[in-house]
Amino acid sequence: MCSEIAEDPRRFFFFMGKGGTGKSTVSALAACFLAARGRRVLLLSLDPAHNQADIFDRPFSGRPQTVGERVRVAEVDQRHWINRFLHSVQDHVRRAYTYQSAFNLDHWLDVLHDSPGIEEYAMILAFQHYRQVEQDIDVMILDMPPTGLAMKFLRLPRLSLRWLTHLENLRQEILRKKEIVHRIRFGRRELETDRILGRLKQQGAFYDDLKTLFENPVATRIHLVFNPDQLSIRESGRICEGLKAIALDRCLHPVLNMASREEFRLPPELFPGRSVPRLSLSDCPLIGLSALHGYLGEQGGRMDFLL
Amino acid sequence: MDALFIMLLAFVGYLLAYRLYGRYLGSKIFQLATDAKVPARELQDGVDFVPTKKEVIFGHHFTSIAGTGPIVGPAIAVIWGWVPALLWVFLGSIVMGAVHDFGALIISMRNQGKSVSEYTSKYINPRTRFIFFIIVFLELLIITAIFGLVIAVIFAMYPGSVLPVWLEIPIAMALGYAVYKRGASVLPWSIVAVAVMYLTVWWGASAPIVMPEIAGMPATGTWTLILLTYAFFASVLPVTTLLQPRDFINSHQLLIAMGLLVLGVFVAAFTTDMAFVAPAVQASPEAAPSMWPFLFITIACGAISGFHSLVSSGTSSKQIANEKDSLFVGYGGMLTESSLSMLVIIATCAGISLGYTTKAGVSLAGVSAWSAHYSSWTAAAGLGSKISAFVVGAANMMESFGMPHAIAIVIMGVFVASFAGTTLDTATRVQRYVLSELFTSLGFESFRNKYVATFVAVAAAAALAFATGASGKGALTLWPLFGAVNQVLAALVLTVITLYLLQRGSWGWILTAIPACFMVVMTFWALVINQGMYMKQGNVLLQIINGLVLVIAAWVVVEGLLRFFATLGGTPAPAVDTAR
Amino acid sequence: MKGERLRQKLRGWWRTADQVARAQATEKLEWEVREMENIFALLTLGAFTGLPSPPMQLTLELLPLMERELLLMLEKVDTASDPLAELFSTLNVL
Repeated sequence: MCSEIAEDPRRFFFFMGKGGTGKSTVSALAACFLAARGRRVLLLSLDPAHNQADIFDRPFSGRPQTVGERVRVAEVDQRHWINRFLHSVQDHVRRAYTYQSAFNLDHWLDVLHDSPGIEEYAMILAFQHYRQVEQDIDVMILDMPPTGLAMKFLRLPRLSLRWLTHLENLRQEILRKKEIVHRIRFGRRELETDRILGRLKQQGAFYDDLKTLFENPVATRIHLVFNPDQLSIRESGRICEGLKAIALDRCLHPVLNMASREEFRLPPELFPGRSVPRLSLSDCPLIGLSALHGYLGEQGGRMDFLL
Repeated sequence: MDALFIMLLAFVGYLLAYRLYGRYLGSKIFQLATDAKVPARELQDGVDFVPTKKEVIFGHHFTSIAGTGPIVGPAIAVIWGWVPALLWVFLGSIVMGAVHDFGALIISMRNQGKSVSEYTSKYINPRTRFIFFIIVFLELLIITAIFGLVIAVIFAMYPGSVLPVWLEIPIAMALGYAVYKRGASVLPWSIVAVAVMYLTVWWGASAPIVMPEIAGMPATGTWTLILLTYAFFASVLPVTTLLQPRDFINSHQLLIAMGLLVLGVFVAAFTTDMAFVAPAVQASPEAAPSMWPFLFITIACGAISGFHSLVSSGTSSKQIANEKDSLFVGYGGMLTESSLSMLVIIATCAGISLGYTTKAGVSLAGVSAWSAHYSSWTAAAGLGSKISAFVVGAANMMESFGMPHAIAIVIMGVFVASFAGTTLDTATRVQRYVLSELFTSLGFESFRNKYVATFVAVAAAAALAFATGASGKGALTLWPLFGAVNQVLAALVLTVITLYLLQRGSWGWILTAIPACFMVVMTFWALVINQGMYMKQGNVLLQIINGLVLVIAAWVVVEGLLRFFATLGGTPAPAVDTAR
Repeated sequence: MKGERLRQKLRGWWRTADQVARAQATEKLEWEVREMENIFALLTLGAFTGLPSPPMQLTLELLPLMERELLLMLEKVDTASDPLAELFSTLNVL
């Protein structure tokens, strides 16, 4: 899997930040900027707020729609993916379980729609879907939801792997002991392959692949969009710490947005050793493709960090 | 000759009881039926619930319930004469003990193989689970203390047994390695291990190890500490490393020892003038508690033992293929153990008459040989004297068919010590879990660590052992406590069986209610007497433990009576899944 | 003829003894396996009984394969059984 990631020429640019920092607009701009330079771009909105529809001034859906040259946009419907997942579980359970009447699983699964952890998993499933299907693109730009959910998304592979390793070890121990019992009782060594272990390994591979992708600074860039005010700066510091804790700091690319005052000084300890690109405020509202192109025409040079 | 006569009479008696009373209980009272559903088939999963041949279940069940209990108890109790002990062992097992084991097995079988504490909370009420918890905790504490002392006492009296018993450890570990890591076949290799162990017996007999008195602590005290340290390490190792292989070796030892005893009685009857030299009845020997009620507390495992219900409802009930098989396993198993106790009585009361030479070089035979051990409760070495009466008596009988006396002594000493050793190891292990459960739920997180919990278990046992003197005499004061706890549990289980039969509308409940009442009365009586005695001696630790058992016993009675009268008054039987 | 019958009998005894030995050998191990499987079930399916558990999706991914454990857990919750009792009987103390 790791070699496949190394060979995959596609790039994944995440845009995250506090609500209101302008990340959706910046991601839309980034899409147009890169498309103008010959990249085939898919702009995927993982934000339930779906600002892209507002920015491009047209409705979007799960099926990518062409917006300009080489730009396609899609909005992920979280509820759809949650439903899909829960239904597939329901389906598997119905097929696998023999003792149906004992347990009305359907009832349970309805409640789980809003269970903690389901949202970010739905996002992961959506992400993987598009990653698999959209092979003919050069860059996938991901407009992330507000910080909290975005961090959960980024953390999920690591967290899952921790649990999976633990569970896998426990399962292996159980199997080792079972093998001894089997051998003594029946003289044979082999047991039937343990499906649970198989599933655990499969899940492990799934998350491992994601983790490797996220941690690869060539393939992945996490753009942290922030504003020139105290709150935004403080929050960015925290996000930075958070990303460092999950080994994603090498993929971090901070972007200072709406920096109208050129002399605004960033505290040097915030992003040591980096030059932080600044984007200035636009004179007019950035709604619609032509407005976006207009801004790029004026200020496009500031977005060279994307190349 | 009369010893042989008694033995044969007893065997015939057991067979008759099995065929008559046992079958009667099975078919008329419990209504066992061949075509009834059993959990082994209903819940068959190839792991726990597996229909098994009754002989195999029997072998497993019997080797699980037999241990040092049926040996030490009677060895002490013959102080009241051989007749009461024999009658209690014989009649008690037929009418109470075997019925208890049998009933416990059946009820478990008819409740999807659930364990006894689970179905007790169903038939009485859920609070009784705590009773089980506390009883087991106390019992384990007392067992660990006593059995450590038992082994220590054997080491002190029979230095020849020291080497073989310790060598059993590497032999067991080698066996464990062979079976679990290398896939060796269990039966042949365990037989090899036993053979090797008997070779070490021969070596041990010629290389006795004597523990000197260290810093004022008698040999038994030092040995006890060493043994409890061993228990600490043995119980934290995986079961397959030491404990399980020791179990195999012990099962074989048990069968061999029983065989040797029976053979010994036979041959000695014809070639010597072995006779019962113990008094027939001796209701109040010097310094001893009185026969009523203590006889019934002292002999637990040979007549009726509450702990057997745990084994009955453990694996045995999940493997019965046909309801009628439970007679063979439950009823038959207990009778077989009872026959072991009977052999012990013969050895201590008749075998000993063949005489022996004391450490001082004095030759004793006949009655004086017996009296040297039983003239008073704490004669000579307390518990040690009683055990040695068995060891010597058995060795004497074995000598009659040509086994050298010294070797026979070591074989028997090692036999008792090995079983005590495995019990010590297991009890410490289980106690660790109990303490973990108890203390972590009270908030002491450190008890999650297995070493902490094990250390506390061992330390508590050591405290109890040394509080009573860490000697044979001390162990003797603890034994009735052990018996009392065991019998409280037995009373509880008999009550459950009674309620079960009552709820089914069978008049047979009387047959289990009488034994239940009997056990309750005897246990209470003994506990009250003990409490008085401990208060006079000023032994606080024993007072607390004894007091706790008294409270539990009262609790059992109250709960049982409440439920009994509720059932008589027409409260419906427990709901849901009563199979039958 | 008689010798043959005797040999058959002896073989029968050996077989029984062998089975007892095998059962003894595995009893405690099986108890351990069962305990570990219970723990595994609790860890993965604990969410259904209110215990802290892995991210929900791990539970749900494994759910179709764990019917036995789920039913067992629900049954156990119902009867409030105590594992200690099983422990006592398996690790034959006396």
